[in-house]
Amino acid sequence: MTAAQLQALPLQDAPPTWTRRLRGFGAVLPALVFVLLLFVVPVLALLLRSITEPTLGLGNYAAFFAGTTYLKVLGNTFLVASLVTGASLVIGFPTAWFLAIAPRRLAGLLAGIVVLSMWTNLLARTYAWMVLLQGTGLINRALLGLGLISAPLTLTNNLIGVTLGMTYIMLPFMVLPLTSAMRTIDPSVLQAASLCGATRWQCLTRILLPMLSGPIASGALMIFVMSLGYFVTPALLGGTANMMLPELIAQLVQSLLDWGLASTAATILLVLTLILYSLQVRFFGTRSTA
Amino acid sequence: MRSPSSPPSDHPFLAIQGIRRSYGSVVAVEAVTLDVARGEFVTFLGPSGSGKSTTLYVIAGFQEPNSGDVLIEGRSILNTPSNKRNIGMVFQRYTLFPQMTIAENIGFPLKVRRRSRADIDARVKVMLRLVQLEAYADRKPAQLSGGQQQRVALARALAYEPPLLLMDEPLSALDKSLRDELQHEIKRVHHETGVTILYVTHDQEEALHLSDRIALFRQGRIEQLGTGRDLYDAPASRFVAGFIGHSNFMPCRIDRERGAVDGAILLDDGTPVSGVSLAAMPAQCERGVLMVRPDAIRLHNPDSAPAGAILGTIDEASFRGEAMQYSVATAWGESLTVRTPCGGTGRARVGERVALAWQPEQAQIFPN
Repeated sequence: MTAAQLQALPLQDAPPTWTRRLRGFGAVLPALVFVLLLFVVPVLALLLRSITEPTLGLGNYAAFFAGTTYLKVLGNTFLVASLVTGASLVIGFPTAWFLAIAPRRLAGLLAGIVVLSMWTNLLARTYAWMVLLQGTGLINRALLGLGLISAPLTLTNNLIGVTLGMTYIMLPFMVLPLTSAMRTIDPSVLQAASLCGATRWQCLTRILLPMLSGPIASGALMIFVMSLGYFVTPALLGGTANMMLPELIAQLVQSLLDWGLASTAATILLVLTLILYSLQVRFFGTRSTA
Repeated sequence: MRSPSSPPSDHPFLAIQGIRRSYGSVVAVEAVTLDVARGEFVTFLGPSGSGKSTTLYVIAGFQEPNSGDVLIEGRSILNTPSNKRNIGMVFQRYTLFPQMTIAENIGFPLKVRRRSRADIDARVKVMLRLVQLEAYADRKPAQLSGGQQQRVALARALAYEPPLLLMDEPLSALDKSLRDELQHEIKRVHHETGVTILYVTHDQEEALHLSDRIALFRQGRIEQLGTGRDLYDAPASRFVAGFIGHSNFMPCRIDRERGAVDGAILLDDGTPVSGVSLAAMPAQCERGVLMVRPDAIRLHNPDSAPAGAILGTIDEASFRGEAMQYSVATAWGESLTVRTPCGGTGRARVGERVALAWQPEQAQIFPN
């Protein structure tokens, strides 16, 4: 090979020029226009409203952070999202583990039940919980009948109801990805840890959890973010005392016609979500393949 | 017999007593009994499904036997959970903990034993030197080749100085040259540490190269136990003869009426075979197979052949470096393999008529 050829070689591997890149652009253009018109523009318009209505400036943000009312709603939103995420993890992890190690037919059946619940109408599922949890509902009557309680427990229109109902809805988003991640783990890794002297607890905390930290973090983030913006279940199962941000936004728009403050609340929710997402990418994003 | 008062030195280091393990109607291990001395290197050799890995997993504590016992220095370990057995193990697949560095992997068994930081660091250094991977202490397992990962797995399994090391086909995922290299490594580590090793493989060369003794498994039982030499020179059955080294098998029948002692052997073409002991044959058995190793057979000119030689025609001749290998077609239709050292007598050509003969003590007869 001549020196000239050698010099010419790297050019062939060089990244394509701008014109070449743009050529492939044409195919995605319709989709991009669609997203731009129907997603990016409305979101920007919404965000703009928070600083333009009723007057130009940061007045809406000042109002949001001034009183305790809105901050309490924000705090409550985070509380519920945290509880739901935590509960999903605590219930979802062992469930996923069982699905991962169960015989194939049983695992398929159980995974089918999980998926089927996900496909059932959201309202139907939430009303089902209301029926179960109400004062004369199945749970209270069973507990009364067993003599475990003397008066019905208040299970709806409060934190318990929201957490129960939402955890049930969010659970598949933890169970399904965790199950598939767990299936990729070679059981002999855990057998090796056991022979090394690790107890079951040490196998879980020092081997299994670190190996699954990526899928756990992404599942938890997804549930947390979805919970922050959830409307139906909190509206039906939650009480006025623990209102969540989406309910507040609905009220501001429907009852008070305060688009400016509603946009402010929506913007704050969006910013917080983006912060959480960037944290997840920063700490778990590149390692999730490991 | 065992008694609580006798000192532990009376017991074999490891005693496997009548282990049986079945999965539903499938019997993985039928009955395995074996004593292993301290510091010995014993290989479980056999085809897949012969029960060798299951036996190893029973010793490791991942499988419970239906019956039988495993004793270390006279004490049963079956009621001890895996993590308290103080046994090392290297697996067929790579089992390093992906999120830990190489040093952390090797230090893990010491960490769960709550050894001091300084102790762990010192021991990890020693183990890294033992497997010659000092430079890789801070790498992650994914940055190492398969051979390097298995060396780390070996170091991790030996870090806590277990008296017994189990190895379940540790080299089967590696390519040929790496396998040879790691065999040497394992042998060296065995000499340097004096650890007792139970090694599972289906590769007879690996077994012959590494082991003090080989337990040849077949259908959940140990078919024969002995040194590689024992198994090669005096196979206990047709199966052993076929599994270890190359063998020629010739169908034959036993004529109880003829012969000096208790019968004569006749090959299917009518050639009588003399001098082979019939001790291994059950008294009623009329059919058998005669086994001769390819390198025990000598080629002769048909005109000057010794009495009792078999006639045949050279089918194929191939040069194998240190030896010539011939395939010789016989009168009853089967081909026999013959290996002759290259330095010896002249070569035979394809198509040539030859006579085959062997020393009587180099042939063995097995029931068919």
